[in-house]
Amino acid sequence: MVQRTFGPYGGQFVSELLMPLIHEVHTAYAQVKDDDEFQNQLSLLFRDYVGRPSPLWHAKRITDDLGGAQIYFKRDELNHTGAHKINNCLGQILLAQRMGKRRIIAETGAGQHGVATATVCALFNIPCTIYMGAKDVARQRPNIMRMTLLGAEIKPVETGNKTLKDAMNEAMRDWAEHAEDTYYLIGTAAGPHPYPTMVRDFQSVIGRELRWQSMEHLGRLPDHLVACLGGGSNALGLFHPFLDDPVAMYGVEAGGSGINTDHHAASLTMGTPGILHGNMTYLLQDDQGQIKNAHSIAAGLDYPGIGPEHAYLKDTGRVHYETATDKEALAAFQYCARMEGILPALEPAHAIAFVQKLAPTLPKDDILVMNLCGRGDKDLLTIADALGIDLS
Amino acid sequence: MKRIPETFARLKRENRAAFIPYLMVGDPDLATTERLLCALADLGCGAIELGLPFSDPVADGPVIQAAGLRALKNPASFSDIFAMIRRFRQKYAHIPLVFMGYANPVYRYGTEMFCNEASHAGVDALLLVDVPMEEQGAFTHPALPLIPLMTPLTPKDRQAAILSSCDPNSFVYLVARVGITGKATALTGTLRILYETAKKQSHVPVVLGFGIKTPHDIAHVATFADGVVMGSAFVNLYARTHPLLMGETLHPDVQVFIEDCCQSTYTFSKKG
Repeated sequence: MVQRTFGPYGGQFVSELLMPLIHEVHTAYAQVKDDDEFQNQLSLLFRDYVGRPSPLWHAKRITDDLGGAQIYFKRDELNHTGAHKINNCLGQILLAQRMGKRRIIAETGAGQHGVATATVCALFNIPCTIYMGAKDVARQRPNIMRMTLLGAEIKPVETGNKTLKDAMNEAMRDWAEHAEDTYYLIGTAAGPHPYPTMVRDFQSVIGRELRWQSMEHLGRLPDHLVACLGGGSNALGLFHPFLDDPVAMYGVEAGGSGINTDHHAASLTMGTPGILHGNMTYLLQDDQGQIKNAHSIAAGLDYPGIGPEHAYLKDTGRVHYETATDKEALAAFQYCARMEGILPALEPAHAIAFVQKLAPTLPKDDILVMNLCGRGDKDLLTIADALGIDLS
Repeated sequence: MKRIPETFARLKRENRAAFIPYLMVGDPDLATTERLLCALADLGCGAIELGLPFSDPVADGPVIQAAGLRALKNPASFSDIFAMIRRFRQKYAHIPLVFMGYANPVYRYGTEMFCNEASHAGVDALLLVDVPMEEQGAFTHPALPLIPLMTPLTPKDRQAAILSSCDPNSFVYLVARVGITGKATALTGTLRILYETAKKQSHVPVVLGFGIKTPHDIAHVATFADGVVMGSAFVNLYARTHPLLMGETLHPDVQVFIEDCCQSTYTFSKKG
């Protein structure tokens, strides 16, 4: 069984044209989910191509500075391609290959999923087309270069707010046009069933590793988990293997210019339930059900929805959802760089900003693990711009 | 109300297919929609499809996307739309009106309230593009039957399930090809076979849409189909015509085009 809904959330809200394709993906995934050969193939790719397991790093200087819980980083930014996205891409490309698909499409926000998709498509020799909002194309130039070098075709999307939501719209239109030979490699734990469950399962390698790393190195499970949220796949990957344990969990949404303004991406904190991109979930929308534009300095969080499982975990209270603003994330980026010698992506910089608030309130023997889900190289131009640094 | 089965029964007696133009509600404003609706009814359209604008129309091509954006610049509320339809219904009691849109605005308004109010205003059925059979439960309401979609990719057993679950006061919308709205459809023998396979099993009318551009296309499809929808081509025409309306009168270019479309629905032959 592949989980179809999460309480009232999830589902398959797509046009009839896509239903046979989605059923096909579901059937294929249900077959490989517990297939040893498939899972072994994936494990080897994780080890030898991605470089997993990602290390568990004790951020001692930050721990001492904040003066509370022991802070650890799960270092998924050290993965090949520089983010957690590759975990999911490898799982899905193996699936697409088994399904005999001859073409891959994907949407990308920050470009990390685009880069990971372009990477696995190069590795598996399948042509791919990446949809990316024109605004994101402009602010993530290094990733455009990487995708191009990897052989991907990039299609800038000029509709709407020209960010991730619009890229996803275009990818879905492409899928409907090329229904017969194309596989849609969705980058986060959202979209129509089975994607939210499948992407979560592929990303759960993060939390599964953390379980044994924590037991082996620290002698027990962590007390607190923190991760940033765009669509929510890195957070679910970290959280999911711990949902039945007494572990506190915090998802950090993009607060943009502040959640009391119109410029943020805090779908869970400020949104309401609705239907978009194949699933029912929390959305930023107006009272007529039109989807609002999200805003975040971090392109990977700039999305007005959220994976449906997070919607459920919010309603049940299992996970706490918090926000960090653009400003706080920028400050946290600089803090992490100087304290630990690590340039985080702007997305996990939101999680660091929250850790800065949470850790000092916790006892010193508590263990807090934050998913450092991406590295900051891709953001240097954005950061230079925000800090008024002239690179020319 | 049984406007849909009654209309299709009447058209069949007249050896005609239903010509069903699509227009976006509130594009560019509700007053234009109201006058356009009356003009289309006067010209003898079989039914009218009213698009409900949505910010993220993933099944639509550029023409209908742009129409939605124009409508959302100064968005009409559902209560304004229902009031407009009530006024229309005082003059035009019989022509079927169907809504076509996406799930979220309906869900946000409250499905129960939406269906009741739309039905009371005089809407006959509802097509929600992103609500397939699997999700219809929450949108099924006795006051406002759903219009299911079928496509060339819909497997046989699924076709049968869709057809048998279709409300007798509604119709099935057969999508003529894969892809999004707007691009031309090749009118081939395969299309006719696709249609006839679906029609054979159906207890309700089956209308064909997607990529129908000209009266000539309609004449071709009318030889085998119960009805034919024209979306992007009509939206493109009315959006580019200035002035579209002078008082209650349509611009002659649009009027002649619609007359041609309606005229093309006579099949001059008996259908089975």
